[in-house]
Amino acid sequence: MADGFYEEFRNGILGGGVHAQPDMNGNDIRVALRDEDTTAVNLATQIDAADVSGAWVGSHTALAGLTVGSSAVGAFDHTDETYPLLSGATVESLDYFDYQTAVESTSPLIANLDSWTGLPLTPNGGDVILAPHANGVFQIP
Amino acid sequence: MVTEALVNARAREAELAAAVSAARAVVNEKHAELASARAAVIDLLPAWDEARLELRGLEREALGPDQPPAQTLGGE
Repeated sequence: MADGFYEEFRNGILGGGVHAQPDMNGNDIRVALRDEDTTAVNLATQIDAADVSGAWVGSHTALAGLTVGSSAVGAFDHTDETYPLLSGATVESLDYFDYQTAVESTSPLIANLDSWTGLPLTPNGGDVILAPHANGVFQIP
Repeated sequence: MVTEALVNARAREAELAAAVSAARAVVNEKHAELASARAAVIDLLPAWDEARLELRGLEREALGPDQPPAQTLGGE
């Protein structure tokens, strides 16, 4: 797979999502580390966190330094995120999602990214640091 | 010729248009409330971000030098 937006997000930004859609610089936006051997990515049928959380390695916390439109028009960015002392299965991709409701079944998936340098990653038990590119995490063209 | 059916259809359309307009007014009102609540969140986020970064730094120091080296994932 390549980097892609979940269809829930693509429809949602036009008002046609299943769930309330994210305020990307105000909501509780998170990124989880995906073991694709547990659950393969399906951008069309996977709607919310409950559909894929069984394939997430480690825990997730609210991202910091959220920005929209700062690095470029339509671009989303955040500061580096650390996953302390991570262990578990090999991670093939990243799942961005909106955890504003704090309920997985109402937390819409946003994007799945697998092109970052360092993926796939086999955790060694130390910290894992996510460092977004200077141009941001993704951009709505 | 203006038939009874036409009169009724016009009345029905006008009634529904008024109902939609009233419902949209509620949405607009809620949007205004949402914008205010959102501004309150945005105001709080920088201080929270700073506090979390400080906490993580202290937690890392507390772990000492024995932890495995950090692994980095970088955006392309």
